[in-house]
This record gives sequence, C-alpha cells and structure tokens, in this order.
Amino acid sequence: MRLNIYETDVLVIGGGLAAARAAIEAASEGAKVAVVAKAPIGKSGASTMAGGGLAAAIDIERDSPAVHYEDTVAAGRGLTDLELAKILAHEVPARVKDLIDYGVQLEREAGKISLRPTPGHSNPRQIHSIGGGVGYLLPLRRKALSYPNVSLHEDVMAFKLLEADNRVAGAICYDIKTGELDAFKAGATILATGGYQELYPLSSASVDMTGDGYALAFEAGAELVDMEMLLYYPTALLSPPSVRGALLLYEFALHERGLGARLVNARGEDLLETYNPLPVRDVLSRRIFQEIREGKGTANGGVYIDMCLSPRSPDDRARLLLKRDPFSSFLTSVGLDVANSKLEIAPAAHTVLGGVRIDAHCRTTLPGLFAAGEVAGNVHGANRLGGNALSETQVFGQRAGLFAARYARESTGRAELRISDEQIEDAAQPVLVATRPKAAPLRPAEVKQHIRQTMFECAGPAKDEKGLLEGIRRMGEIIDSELPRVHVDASPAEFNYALQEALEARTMAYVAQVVCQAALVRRESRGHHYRIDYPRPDDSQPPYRTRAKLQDRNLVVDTFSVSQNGEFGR
Amino acid sequence: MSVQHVEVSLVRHDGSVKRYQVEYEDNLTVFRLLNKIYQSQDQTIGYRHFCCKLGRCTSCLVRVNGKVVQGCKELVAPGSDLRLEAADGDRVIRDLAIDFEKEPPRNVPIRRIEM
Repeated sequence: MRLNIYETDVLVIGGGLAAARAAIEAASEGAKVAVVAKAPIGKSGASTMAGGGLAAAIDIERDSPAVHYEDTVAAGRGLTDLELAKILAHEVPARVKDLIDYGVQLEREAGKISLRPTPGHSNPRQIHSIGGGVGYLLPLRRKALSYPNVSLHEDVMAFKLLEADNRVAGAICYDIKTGELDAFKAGATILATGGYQELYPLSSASVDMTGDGYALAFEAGAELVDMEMLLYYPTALLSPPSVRGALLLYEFALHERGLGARLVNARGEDLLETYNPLPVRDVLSRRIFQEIREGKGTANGGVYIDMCLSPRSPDDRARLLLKRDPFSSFLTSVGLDVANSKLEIAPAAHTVLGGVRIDAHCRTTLPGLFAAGEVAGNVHGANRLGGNALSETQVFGQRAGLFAARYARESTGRAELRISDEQIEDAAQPVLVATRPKAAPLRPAEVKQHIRQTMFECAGPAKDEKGLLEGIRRMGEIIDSELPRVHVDASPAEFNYALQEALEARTMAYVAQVVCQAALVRRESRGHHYRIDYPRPDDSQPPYRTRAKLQDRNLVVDTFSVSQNGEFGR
Repeated sequence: MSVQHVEVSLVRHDGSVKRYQVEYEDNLTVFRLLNKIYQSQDQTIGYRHFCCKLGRCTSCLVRVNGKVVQGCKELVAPGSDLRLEAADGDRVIRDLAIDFEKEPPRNVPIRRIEM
C-alpha cells in the first residue's frame, strides 16, 4: 500500500461550515492550509443538511448580543459555557458580515435581511441563506480556494492523529478516491468533523457523522466533555424508509401562525396543551418519548403530525409549505402529500452538544490540536437554541483558524517535526488490519448496525444505570470480538466504501463507549439528557461537566464544575 | 398481495453489467434502492452514500435509463427495469461514484513510502 507524505502549517479536518471558515481564516493569516474532507464540501456532512437558519443579533434597534447571550444561557440548563456563549453572541454579527462578503445570499424583504422568530430566542434573529446549508458552503468553499495557499483534499478521511515533540503534529488519512494513505505533518491541526449521530438508528444528520473527531482526539489523549449530551430534534420522519430521518419543522408545522397541524399519538389524542408558544426542543422531545414509552405510540415507535387537523385550508397549507418550509419540497418529490398527510415522526439524534473540550482560543487540552463547530463541547449546554449551531460554526471556525495559524507560526515549523516512518506505519494499522483475511469475517455495515441497536436499547433517550452498564458490556464485546473480525477486500482500491465503513465502525464503537460511560456518570436529568433513575436535575451541587479521557490506555470519566471550563491547568 | 420487485442493471466502472433484483416498497427511490443492494446483496458497489434529505446537494447524481437524475428524488415504479450508470462517464471513480473535484489538491507529497 502506498503512503504519501504531505507537509502543511495548518491541517483542517472536516468539510462543513466550521472547517471552511477555519481554512479561510488560517489562509488569510498567511498559513499554508490543507483541508481534508471525508466527502466533497457541499455534498456531505451536517452543514449540507442545514435548513439555513443562523442566529445573530443584527437588528441593532430591537435586539442585542447581550440578549442573544442571555437566551443561549437560559436554554443551556446550567451547562452553557458562559465565556464561549458570550463570544458566540457578540462575534456572530461580524461573522454574518463576512458571509455576505463571501457572496452568501440571504433571504431579504424589501432589501432588508429577513429575521425569523425561533422558540427560545427573545427576538426575531434567525437569518436564512437562500439554498440552505449549501447556500453557505459553496461560497465559503470558493472563498477558501481563492487563497493560493489552500489545498483541498476531498474524499479523504482522517483516522489517526500524529504526534511529535509531545504535541499533535498532523494526521494520517485514508484516501477514498485512490485507496492510498496520506500522512499530513502539520504545525497545527483543527478538528471540525461534526457529530456522532450515526450511533443511533434514527438520525436527522448525515451518514458521515460517525464521530470521527471525538475518536481522533480521544485516542490522542484529549479530554471530551459532556459526551452524553445529544440534542434530539423532536419531529423527524420515521417512515417511509426513503425519507427516514428527514426533518419536519415543528416550529412551523405545529405553530398556530404556521401550518397549525396537531401532534397526536396512535390513538389520535392531542399531545400538547398549547401550540403558542411551542415547547423548546428538549421539552417537546421528552413529551413525545414519554408517549411512546407509555405504549401510546405507533408500531414503529413514533407519533403523528396530523396536517388534516389544522384549521387552515388544504390550499393554504400547501402554499405556506412551499413558501416557508425548506424541507418539504423533498418530501413532495418522493410522493408524499405533505399538506394533507398524517406523518409518522419521532425525535431523532440531531446535534451533539458535548465534545472535545475547548477554551476561548479553540485550543483543546492537547498542544497543537484545536476544535470548532459541533465536534467541540460544550458551548451550548444541555440544550441548544435553533440557529445557534450555524452561528457556532462561523464564530469558532474563525477563531480556530486564527489561533491555529498563530500557533503554527510560533511553534516548531512543520519541516522540523520529527515523525519516523515506523510511527506512520504504526498509525496506518487500522486500514491494513481491515483487509487481512479473517476466520469468521463480518461486514463493517453489520457491526455498525450492532452498535446502533445497542445504543438505541441501552443509551437511548431514556437511560438508566442498568441499561447503561449493559450498553458498556455489549460495546466492550463489540470492540473485543467483532471489530477484529471486520473484513473488507482490499481490491478494488478506488472508492471502496466498505473500507471507509470499517474505519468508521471502529470510531463509532470507541465513541459509543465514551457516551455510555459519560451518561452513567451524569446521575441526573438535565436538558436533553434524561435518566429514568434520576429524573430531576441534581441541585445539591453546582452544575458540572462530565469529562472522559484516556489515561494509561484506560477510559477514565470524572466530573468538574462548569465554572472551571477555561482552566486547563497547563 | 404478492411481493413486487424491481430489476436493476448496474453498469460498473469496467463496463461490465451486474444484475440485481430488489424488493419494492412504498415511495422507493433510486438512492434507497442502492442502499438496499449495498446493505443486503453486494457491498462492493461504488456509489456515494450521503443524502442531504433535502434533494439539494446532488451527491447522488446518477444516470437512470439514459437520463441524469438525483437518485434521492427519483421514484421507482414496482415491476420496473432500471439501467443505472455513472452520471458523468468521464469522471468515474468507481461504478456510480464520480469525482466532484474540479482541480486536484494543490499540495503535492514531499515523498512516498510503499508499505
């Protein structure tokens, strides 16, 4: 197998909005930048699937960053990182200006940028791109490539970080297009790889979200915080299979001033007392899960959004859908009559709130390693407001790019980093091992399926100690006796997706273990984390984070007070 | 009701044609059909697995019976016979997966090792 060695000042791992923004900033600082994305930018990842809403207090007459900050903190149920939330709210208006400079087209009315109301935000502050996530990504991709010092490597998956001089010094990657390996020696490395939603059977996110960044950071020894905090979007389609996981915007579908549809269980009973205001995401998800747990859900484990119960006329509903719901035209194209249907929905794994611990400079606890966007935790807390995810990508993407470029400039140059060929070959093992013959081979897709099933049964939306311990046991079994049996033919070398899946299955198993362990340690319910055996927030101590890290090859989980987040103790 | 099927001829990167039979289901799309083949019949078929669930990203572009379409939005009729080919024959990586990169990476390797 051939391995290509590259050198760069800043390596950006990821292909979404945080990665693209980081690349732009690092390049504008004069750094030589390489971006490795598992699939093409704008045709992969979580950002591509975004509806396009981005929260920013840009209406200086009626709104302010201070109020945006307060709303963000209130939604976070005590777990918001106050320093990071302040940065988010105060810097996002400037980042919106950048987006406009890059050529992003925003929805406007009479020339003025439209601002939509969103549950949990005190003022209308959600801007929308024309073309959703792709409407942001393509101009950002173009902007990044306008710098001659940016090199874009699409269809390249990072699977192991490299270390030199006691710091992170790049990554080794699998080139899906060629089947070769690429090692990047880098002065600074930025993780912007998104979440781990693929650990669950119903996800509104992309198949790419296999938790790669968490595994990379964790294996190298970085701290992960609040990994149990997974945000559910309350209303994703359960069926038909062609559109499973597609979002139905409840903020619009259920609102009195929206479509006015009703949320009902399998018996036709209404689930909500009021549709104005609507509950925020964690409250509504919990309400739906409760209904399903009590046996009042559908056979598939869902409830319905019934459009026919709306006081609006069918024509009115169809017109509104076309105008205001970016998701519904896709559903229509696969043959669903959205405006006149009873749609089977359930809460879906939507965004990961916890992640790689960062400070205000997007530094992780490992020198040379930075993180931004969804993979970083925990900016938002135990719940996140709609629109704040895209804000996070721009604010922290910019910061990660800036501070990583500075770090690369001020520390050992990329050429001086000493990484031996033996070290590189050792790092390449996961790919080499997957293609070796096995006695009782397993397909990687099967192992992924086992992981998802285990997580659904043992670490789903309603957790308890017994289930989590069982999940940890079963995940240990998968790691010990299933992962070593994963087999993929080495040929053909080009676009061997099964080999990518073999790497992802490994990643997912490790991340799943961390999620189970962190959920076990959080003996309380808070925001999107719900424990049946501890149904209330633990008010006996100040809000705390769970922290997972690898110590002497063992996974260790403890907790620390939220107020100590910026203190890394180095 | 008897189970209905869809017949699929998939043109591979080397020009050979492989045939599959897939069970029909409601709202079956070409993209879903490829997932069904990959999951339960043949993990060697090459196509892009990403779906934005919005019908927007065009990652799933594919030629169906001669016409280039988005696989995620292309409905399949029960009993139909489909010929699937790469959307752009000049940019095939393997089977249906095509290369979307307009230019190769600017960075070139400083050296190579064979393992």
